[in-house]
Amino acid sequence: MPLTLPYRRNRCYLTGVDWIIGTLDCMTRRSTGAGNTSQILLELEGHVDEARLRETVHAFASRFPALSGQPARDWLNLAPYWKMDRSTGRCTVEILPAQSNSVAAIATLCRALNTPFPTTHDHVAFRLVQSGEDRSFLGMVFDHRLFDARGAELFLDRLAAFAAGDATPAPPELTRPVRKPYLSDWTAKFSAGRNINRALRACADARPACLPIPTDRPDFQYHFETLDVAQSRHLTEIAFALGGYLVKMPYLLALAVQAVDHLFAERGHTPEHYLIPVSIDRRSARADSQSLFFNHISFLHFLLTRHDLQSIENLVQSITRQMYEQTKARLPEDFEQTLLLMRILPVGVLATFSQRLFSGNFGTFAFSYLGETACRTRQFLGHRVMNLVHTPRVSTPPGLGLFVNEFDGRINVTAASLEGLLSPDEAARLARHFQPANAQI
Amino acid sequence: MPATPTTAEIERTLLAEISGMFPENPAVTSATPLQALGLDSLRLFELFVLIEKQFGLSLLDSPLTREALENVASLAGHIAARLATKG
Repeated sequence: MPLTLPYRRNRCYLTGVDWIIGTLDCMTRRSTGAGNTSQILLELEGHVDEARLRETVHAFASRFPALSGQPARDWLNLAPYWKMDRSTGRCTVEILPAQSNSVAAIATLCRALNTPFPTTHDHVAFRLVQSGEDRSFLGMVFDHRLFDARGAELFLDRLAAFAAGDATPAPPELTRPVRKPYLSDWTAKFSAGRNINRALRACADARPACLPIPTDRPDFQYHFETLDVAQSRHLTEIAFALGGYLVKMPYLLALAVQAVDHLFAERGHTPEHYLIPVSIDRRSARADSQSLFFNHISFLHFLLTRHDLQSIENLVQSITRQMYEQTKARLPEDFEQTLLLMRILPVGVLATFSQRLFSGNFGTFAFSYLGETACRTRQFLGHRVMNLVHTPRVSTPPGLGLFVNEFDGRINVTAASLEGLLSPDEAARLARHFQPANAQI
Repeated sequence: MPATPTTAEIERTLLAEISGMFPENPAVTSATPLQALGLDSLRLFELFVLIEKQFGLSLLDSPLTREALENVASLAGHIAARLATKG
């Protein structure tokens, strides 16, 4: 039986993926003034009772000490961990000025996303905007160092259940998670590192296209496209016809690449290569789908050539092939192992080192397909949930991302970009490209 | 040369793999619709990799139909038929 020192028993050590997310947070903070945060935006029917929202969120958050933690380093084994030295957790609740319509309400929440958290112990904020069309918009802003997108959805789902009267306390492994420091099996880590190094060097050698990051600490802008159920079904059928039944992600990524290629073409560029890092959820593979906190993701990288862009069929075929080859080569697992080696470096140093290693080019844009939301509830504080959309601040560079999720059979597309990187019209066109009428079939 | 696996053997292998992918859904049977389980592109490709390693059959060459991926039983039948054709 392994010997664990008593003081380490209550520590939640961070994985390599958590550490690299912390590094992205540092890089994004340097470029934009605020960290690598994201927001789940709920559209609710009717006007939410503000006092009840505050009371519910504060009561629920107090159960989770992890919410008020911060990263620290164990100076005996040098592994980073999440320090939870407060007995309760907290989330801030802000009521923003009411707006006359939904568009203005969403814009208000998205603008507020560019404001950093008030202290280093704050990692989650709820922001509410009442809208004149008998709607409320609730933004759950979260620090990506504490939650990945799926974890934040699961947290929101539990909050909704709590608000509906579910008083069952969450188990301690959720409220105050504990994890080992991952300080064994070094041979496997270095072997994985060799594989990842080869894969990343091949991508970097291709000199993928990227847009220059504005230097004036820009804010993020967001454009959405929500397809109705019929349009979503239509898109899904095309995806299945091109990639095979249940294979939806390659087609959605192919549409995203096409949209970005059109944007470059309009600017008079025809790049030879695009590189797209795609985050993937690893929860079910690890049998811990109830995990709320920290990052349970890994990455796939897709390098697409001018030849792939000749047709949507070519694009889907190339993405499918690359996805299969990376899965077969166990690159997502190797990424997790390799990143554990990086934890020795402080995030600031790692951020500078990574910038130099890749010459500031981390890919053309970020992409993620979350699938149907993990937030199963359709009621929040007694109000019907009309839609759920993700609005992430994309790690910078590249400062540009396309994100797809589904809610009640409807596909939502979010185009997130730095102001100045794209014009509002260009960003809107990226999201609109997913409309079946615009998508090249 | 190893004998071609039977449909029942393929079904058992697939069932064990898929049950491992969805540990919180203990009621997975050969008739459980794969779509209802939440099998997405990534999990499906993990399954394809297993199939290639176990049975030497690549399923990437031609996209699988809804009928083939309806449930574990239909997928096992599809693999058995492809292996038989492969000889």
